[in-house]
Amino acid sequence: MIEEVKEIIAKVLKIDIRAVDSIIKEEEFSSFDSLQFLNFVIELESKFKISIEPEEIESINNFDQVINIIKSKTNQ
Amino acid sequence: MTYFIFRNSTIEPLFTDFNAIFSGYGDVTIGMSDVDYFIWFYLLDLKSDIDSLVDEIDDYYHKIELLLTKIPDSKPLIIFTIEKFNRSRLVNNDFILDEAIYNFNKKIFSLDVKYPNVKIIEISEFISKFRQNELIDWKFYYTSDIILNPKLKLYFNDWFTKKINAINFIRKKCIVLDLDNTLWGGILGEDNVEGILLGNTYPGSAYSDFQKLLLEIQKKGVILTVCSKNNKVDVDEAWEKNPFMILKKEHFSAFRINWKDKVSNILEIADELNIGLDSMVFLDDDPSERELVSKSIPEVIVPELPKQPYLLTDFLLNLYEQYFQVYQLTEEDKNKTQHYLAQKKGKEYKSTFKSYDDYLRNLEIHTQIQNASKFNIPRIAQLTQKTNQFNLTTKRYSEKNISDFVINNHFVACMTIKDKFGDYGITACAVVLINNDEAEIDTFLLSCRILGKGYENVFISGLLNELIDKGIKKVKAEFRQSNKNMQTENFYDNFGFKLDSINNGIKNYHFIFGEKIIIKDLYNLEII
Repeated sequence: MIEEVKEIIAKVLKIDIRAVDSIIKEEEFSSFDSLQFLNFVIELESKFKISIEPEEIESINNFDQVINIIKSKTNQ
Repeated sequence: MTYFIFRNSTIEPLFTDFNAIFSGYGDVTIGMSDVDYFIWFYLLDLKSDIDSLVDEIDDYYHKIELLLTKIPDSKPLIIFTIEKFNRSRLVNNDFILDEAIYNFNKKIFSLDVKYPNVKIIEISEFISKFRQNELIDWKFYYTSDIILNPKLKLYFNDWFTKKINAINFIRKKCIVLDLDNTLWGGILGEDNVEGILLGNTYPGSAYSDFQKLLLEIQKKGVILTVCSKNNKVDVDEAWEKNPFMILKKEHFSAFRINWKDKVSNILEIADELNIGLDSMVFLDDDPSERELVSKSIPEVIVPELPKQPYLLTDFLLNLYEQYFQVYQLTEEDKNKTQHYLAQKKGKEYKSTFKSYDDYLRNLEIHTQIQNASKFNIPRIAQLTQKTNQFNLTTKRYSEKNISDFVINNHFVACMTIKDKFGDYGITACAVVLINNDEAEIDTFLLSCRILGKGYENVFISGLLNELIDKGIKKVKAEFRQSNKNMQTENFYDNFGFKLDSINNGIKNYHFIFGEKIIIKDLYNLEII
């Protein structure tokens, strides 16, 4: 699942997959602008067939939170 | 390709794979003019207040009228129709809204007629593929002002790309058809002429409808050909005697009805029609034949035919939408089968003459070089998009690109050809960049349909004579190698251009002017 999320980040930010690690190490997702973040959420929902509530979207600040939300909704 | 999109809601997620720039919501300021296309993509809001929606629709049209005063004629403006995604659940019918939508769409279709640069895309075609709950994601509507569900992005991308291709005339040219269990049900060799399945009752009715649809597609400029393992006399008899046969022999431009392998036959058909293999789609019910063709000639599209005859017409409509759709048919498209048949007759005629010039003179050829105008620019753009073989530089241009060349005083011309066998229409074009008293031939191409009669020399001679009249002292030209244009590699050398350099498949030339070039009178060239 982690690799799949990384692939989505690379796709949304239009960067090489190898550059994603440095982005997810940051405290916050500072590389995303609002539209990229919207595309990120849309891609996550499509990929994992989940619905992320607006309140959860608001709360996302870093990569670990994304993984936790997906885990909680997919029982992984 | 760059797009500037006027919008009234968040649509960016639908266009992430396109090079698009967006207006502010409801803003009709032209934020960037150096784009290939302007697009109007307004979506009807999902709210239930019908009166305010009707007012908004009125406002949309006024904005489009305003926009048309700002966008130059040479820039394409693609307008999406509007459609409601969210049927009101408060009233039994919302006909006032339906009427407003109908009137809006009717008015923008009239703009398509009035303004050559306006093209219409019907959003109803896209939304009809989905249920209402698939079209709307209320969460994104409330959190991000998104009206059309962004999770439909992949479908939308695919559909929108097809629409743009249709506007740019990018499509396949030819359907190669098997006969038994494809064009009709049953096996002709076993079931005989009366026994094959065609007619008013199922499954024959499904094959008859399939043929009717193929005929409609042929009328839209797609070439139909036959590639079948059969005895030709049996097939001729079926064409002549089966009363339910919709597609007759004259609807096909080439036949290979024999017992040879289908790969060789398809290669021969491509050669006979002078078309690329990548412009062909092969339809055959037999999976082993399909596999052989798709593996041997990967350029040919080989879709899987449905096993059930009742699915054939739906399959063909999808195929048309996928590979053959075109926004606007040119006269050349409408008469394509006649052109290919005329070409075939011409080949047969050739063998009865003593000399080649004798043969050409008896063809009663008439050629005409025309300057680019609003009447021929769509065809010129189409030729640059579609021509691969006799194309010296293989540069692809849109109508807007061609218009820009004309506006910037470059020389764009095309050539029409007709002979006693038919009118081939505009089948050659050139773009010549003018810089004071120097000219550079940027594009020079001829449709493969008219090759073999020396028209390329007539056209280049006519162009060079025109350049002399325009006071041009020096002409440069280049050959850019592609995968398909090797036959033109020495065209400029043979004509008398001087080779300056060769680098990475690009040959640079110049032409030294002397006297005007004499063009054989048998071509009856007229320059207008």
